Amino acid sequence: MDQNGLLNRLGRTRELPALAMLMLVIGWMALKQPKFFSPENLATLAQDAGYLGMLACGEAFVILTGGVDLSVGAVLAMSACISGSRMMAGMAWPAASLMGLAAGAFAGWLNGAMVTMRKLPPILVTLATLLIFRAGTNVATGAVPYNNLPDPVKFIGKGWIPFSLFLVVLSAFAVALARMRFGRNVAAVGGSEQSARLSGVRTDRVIRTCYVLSGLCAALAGLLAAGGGNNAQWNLAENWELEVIAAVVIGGVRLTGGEGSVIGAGIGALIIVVLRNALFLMGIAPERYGLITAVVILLAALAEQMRVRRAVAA
Amino acid sequence: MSAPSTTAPPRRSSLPAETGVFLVLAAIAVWLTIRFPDFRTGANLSVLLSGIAEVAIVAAGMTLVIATGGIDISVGSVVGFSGVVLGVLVVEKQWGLLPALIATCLAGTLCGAVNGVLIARFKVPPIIATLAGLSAARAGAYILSDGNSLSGLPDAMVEFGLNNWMGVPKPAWLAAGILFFTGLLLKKTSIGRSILALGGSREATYLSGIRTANVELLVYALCGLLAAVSAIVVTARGATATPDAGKGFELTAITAVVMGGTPVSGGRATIWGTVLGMLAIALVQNGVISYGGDGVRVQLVLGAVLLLSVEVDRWRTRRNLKA
Repeated sequence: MDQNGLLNRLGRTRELPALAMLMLVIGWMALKQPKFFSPENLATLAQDAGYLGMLACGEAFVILTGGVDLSVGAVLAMSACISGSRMMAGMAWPAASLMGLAAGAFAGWLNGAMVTMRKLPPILVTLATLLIFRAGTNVATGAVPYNNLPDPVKFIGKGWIPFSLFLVVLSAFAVALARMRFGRNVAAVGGSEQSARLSGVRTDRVIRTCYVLSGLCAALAGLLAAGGGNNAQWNLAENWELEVIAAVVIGGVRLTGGEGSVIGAGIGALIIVVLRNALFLMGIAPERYGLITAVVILLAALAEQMRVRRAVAA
Repeated sequence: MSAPSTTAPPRRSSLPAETGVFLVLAAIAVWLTIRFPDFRTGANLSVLLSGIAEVAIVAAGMTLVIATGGIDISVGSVVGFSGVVLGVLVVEKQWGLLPALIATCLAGTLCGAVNGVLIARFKVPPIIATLAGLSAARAGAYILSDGNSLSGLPDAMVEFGLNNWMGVPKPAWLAAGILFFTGLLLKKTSIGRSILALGGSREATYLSGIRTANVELLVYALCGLLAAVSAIVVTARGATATPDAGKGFELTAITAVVMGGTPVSGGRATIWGTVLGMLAIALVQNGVISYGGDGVRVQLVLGAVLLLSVEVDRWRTRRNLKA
């Protein structure tokens, strides 16, 4: 058979199942719900996709190294509250935003440091920091929301701006993964940390950088989400970590690391957001979304299994 | 009972896997006893025990799952789903208590078995399969109950949730019994050996003729069954079945198991560690509330305690390697 035929090449494309699923949902909406394509709805969609997609970009890098970051939602809330409290205290908004981003990067570095320097399992480290960052933010802010943010911050958090920023981050990360030494090192570390180390990759530094990027993405998403809702509060993005991981996995990133693409993770985030919006437009109670999310996650996981088997068979 | 939990024969000088959690537990207990004289009263300890019984039952199943190197994050949702099954059958369908309890256990086992089939047969990574389970079972609980809480349970059940036997709450007895038998299963039976072997090396276990898929399926089904038992306790203690029941149980159970010294990579497990981990969590809750803190502060301290235990466990492993 022609190895480089169009069909064969399509079959080997990682993002294909995710992209097909996304097209399916959008096509179905086109037939059933014309409201889906109203400018207002699309703007809401873009905004939500911007937040979730941003988190998925960072998470994808961490999962590519074979780790996992459960603390993204908590980091989002923490850095949003740090920025929010400084802005309300009268600090200029660019300075306050930078403080939030720095806090997110530091939180990610802390995760990475515990994973690499202390050799603790990522799932436990980030489970612990999820509890600590979230609860710490609650205690430090006294659970008070900061909801009088400056206009520029409100502006960048709404509509198509978070989505555009998400696309910028996504492209940058995709290029880094495919074309830069750092990206190759990330994939190498995820494939086999030992082989990577023995071939001269500074594995610990690569892993730490991935956690820092994840923290940075979370902080940026936090700034946008706080601005979009004009509300920085300790319970922002509660329980989002599972949605983010689901998005990354739906996008075809292998959970054990080494294989996958950031673009896939971005598509995965789009699927989750579009699906949630579709169910909402159809008037289905939010508590019931879970059943459909579960089906999508499983379909993606099974598609990945089939792809692996075909790759092994070929 | 300080039996080391490694599958390899232990050296004399090596510290048991429970060292970390035991030190943390002892430190908190001593501190609370000195600081709050009320801590040692029977009433307080009784509240403490019945409060952790429901999560301890889930943690027993979680220990088995983590021993195979897997993880089950759907348990909290399965608790909610099975609890609603119980409520609907008893309150709306007027079933007898015993058939309803059996049906509840079957519902939980079925949820666990679905996870197990996906993981063992279709090779879906455990965290993904049970992430789907977490979404689906919680949605199922809402659909089945229409989002309502169901009250009006038989007196026998409510009585079980409230009363003591020999000065200890009945749910705590149930949890102790389940943990004991899970420990026996793990250490004294061939199934237990297969579970630990599976966590150690799937390939080697398969090649030595153990049906790894069946063992894995059994473990997840058992975890679902224990989630259903936990749902019965939750429902009895609250005297209502609500679709929200069991939210966050997965985090507490995983924390307890790992704090207890069972490594997330599988292959080794200790039920005693899980018991101590549950007690440590209970003491943290009790202590923080004694200081006038709330649930959020409990989480803050719990996160720190978890990191501390993992760090102590790492120190222990290195020390044992050197010895």
